[in-house]
Amino acid sequence: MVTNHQMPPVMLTLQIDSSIACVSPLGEAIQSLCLYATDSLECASQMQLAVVEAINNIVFHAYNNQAGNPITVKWNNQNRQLLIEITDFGDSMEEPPLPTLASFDAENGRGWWIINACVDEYHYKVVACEQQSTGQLPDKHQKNPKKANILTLIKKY
Amino acid sequence: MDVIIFADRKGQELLPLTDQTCVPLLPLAGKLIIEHTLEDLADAGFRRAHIILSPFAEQVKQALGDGKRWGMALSYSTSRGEGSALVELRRLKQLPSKPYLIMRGDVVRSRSLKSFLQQAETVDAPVVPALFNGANAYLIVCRDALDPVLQYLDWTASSPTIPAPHPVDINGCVARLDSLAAFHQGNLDAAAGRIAGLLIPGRQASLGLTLGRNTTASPQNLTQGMALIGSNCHLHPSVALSGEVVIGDNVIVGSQATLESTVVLPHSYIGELVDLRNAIVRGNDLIRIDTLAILKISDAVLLDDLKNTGLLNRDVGMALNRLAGVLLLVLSLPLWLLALALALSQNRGTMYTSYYLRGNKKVMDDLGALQRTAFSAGEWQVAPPVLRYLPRILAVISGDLELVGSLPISLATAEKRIDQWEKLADQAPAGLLGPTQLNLPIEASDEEKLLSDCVYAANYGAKANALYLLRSLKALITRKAWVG
Amino acid sequence: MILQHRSHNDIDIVQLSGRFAMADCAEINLSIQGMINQGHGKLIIDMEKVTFIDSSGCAVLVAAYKSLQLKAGRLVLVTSPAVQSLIELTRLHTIFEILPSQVAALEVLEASVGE
Repeated sequence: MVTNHQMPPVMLTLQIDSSIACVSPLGEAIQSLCLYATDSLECASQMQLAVVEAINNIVFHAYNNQAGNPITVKWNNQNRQLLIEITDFGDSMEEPPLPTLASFDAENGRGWWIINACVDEYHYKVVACEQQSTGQLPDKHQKNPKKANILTLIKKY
Repeated sequence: MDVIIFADRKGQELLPLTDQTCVPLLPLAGKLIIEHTLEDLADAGFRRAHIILSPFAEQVKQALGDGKRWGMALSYSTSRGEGSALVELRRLKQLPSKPYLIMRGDVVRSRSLKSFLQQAETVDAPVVPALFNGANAYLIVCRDALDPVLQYLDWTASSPTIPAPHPVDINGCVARLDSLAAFHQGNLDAAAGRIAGLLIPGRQASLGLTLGRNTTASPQNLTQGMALIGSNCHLHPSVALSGEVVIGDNVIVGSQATLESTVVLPHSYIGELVDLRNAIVRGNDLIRIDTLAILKISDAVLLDDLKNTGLLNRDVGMALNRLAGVLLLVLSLPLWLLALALALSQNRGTMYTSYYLRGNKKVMDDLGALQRTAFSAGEWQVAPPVLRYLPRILAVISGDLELVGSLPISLATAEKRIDQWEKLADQAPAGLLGPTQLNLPIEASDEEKLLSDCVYAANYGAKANALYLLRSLKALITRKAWVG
Repeated sequence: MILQHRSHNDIDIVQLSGRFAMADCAEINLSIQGMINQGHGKLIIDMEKVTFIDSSGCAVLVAAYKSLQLKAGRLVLVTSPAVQSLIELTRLHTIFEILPSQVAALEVLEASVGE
């Protein structure tokens, strides 16, 4: 019987289509994975929340709410640290917005605040890529197939 | 007994202090406001409490945690803020079991909880509010679940509409902290011990001076009155504190700053020569209590100074330097006579001329930047350099020049130094002796001298200076020293 | 996401359960706005059985709050721990009226009938 914390470093890759219907199952999967790794419901819920907010952003802003584009989520657990890398091939941001809180009556603009509060660190980078590594999904809608946007979320537990 | 702590003030009255935090987390005499209440409870033997929070609730939870530090178990809930106690109690998932204690955690009261509870025992009433010397102490023992007298706890009801039927009035005081002036005064009162029983953190360094861990401050910083200084602070030895002064953790106060009756919040920096009276300092915000004006303090100059030079070393070094100047003057007295005789024999008119050179002393200019000042330098009108520059020993004694340093220049020459590399030479102090003075002939071009000083400044250090001092002694018996 | 709607006197009660996330938000928002338009300005959104909520769920709550403000109505929320923690994280607890149970919420709104 191996307890969770003695788990060897594990890397899992999940891929979904850029449709909001896919976000919830992915969120549940991330929550389960994180709960399995950390035994902490709080940590798992926060990780799910951060990932869901990030993917909502990708669907709406990077892919302009167009389904049929790939979003890859790599999940890694090592040295009491959860690392999640979310890759998309849509429109890039120059840099992630500052995690400021919207005014109380604003209906949007809380996503980055939530991500910032839920994880210890996050990094955003745009990399040039020759070919998608896991390109099973159709990539005809990609605006710029040469670029990948990678958001890394890190949380220690 | 269950304890409910209301810490849900919105804090509008304490803006700008509450723009990034909430009232219970503001510092009061070295602790968070709410910590004083928790300590009082722990001291009276309470082991659990429920806290009702509103703005910046997450910060409070983070700061207090589960309450283990006080040997208590803390739980939290949130509200819209400044609601009526009667309503807020109904909103709890579970009503507290009777009898219970409810109190505000965003005011500070003297440590009278135990005696209040004892006296409340003797009163046979469903609800017993506490008055401290007649003032509402925001502290109630409740034996009935919900009673209108609970409005004694409401923040918005400044005077409850019903008189307290069975109050317990005991000795003590309450700091409501309901304005910036009241917050300022509350801090001073607490630090001075006028709010009885509060535990003030720190050690008594000297009469009236209480210091936290890792804090550098000396008894002479306190010219009069009392001061409470937090942990990890640095006060320059020339800082003057008077009246009652409360300084939070991680504060730096620059040289010659004067603080009177002032409250400095943690993580603030007070620049050189700043003069504060009746003020609250938060970061680089300065709030004047009398006018309620909010100003920004310029912090351009000094932070660098503090980092780059060990202050103590600099002061000791300066004293040693001046002492060496005195010694040199005594030793050189025969040379002064020689210079006088030579000047008399060689010149008809002027034997001695004086002019201004840029020294090492600094003053603040109109823009608040530190500038080196000029000093009056003299020279004998004689040929041998050793005799000619004798009067510069006086500048070493006055502290304008170092014993070893770069070649002193006039202010006009200094202004011509514009390029980055030229300014490098200015980083070294000017001195009586130095490589430029020793190695270069007097008639060498300004550029050559500047280059030599740049090299000196780049390699500046005590070891190099000692070497130049030795070489100067040797140079005394060279031809160059006497012929030029 | 399951949405149930019932009325009690003139108070509308919306009961949500499951995930309150982006995928369902548009639909929930439509139903809630519809209720507010036709209702009497008293709405309880009971999220005691909501297991997950994200910022788009918050946006629906803020929209409901604003619509009821315009009608001089009153919105009362009942939260689950997940909902409560997101509301506190986004500091919306300083504007929303939150009660511990649907029963308590009904009591408060019924008491305000005569006000």
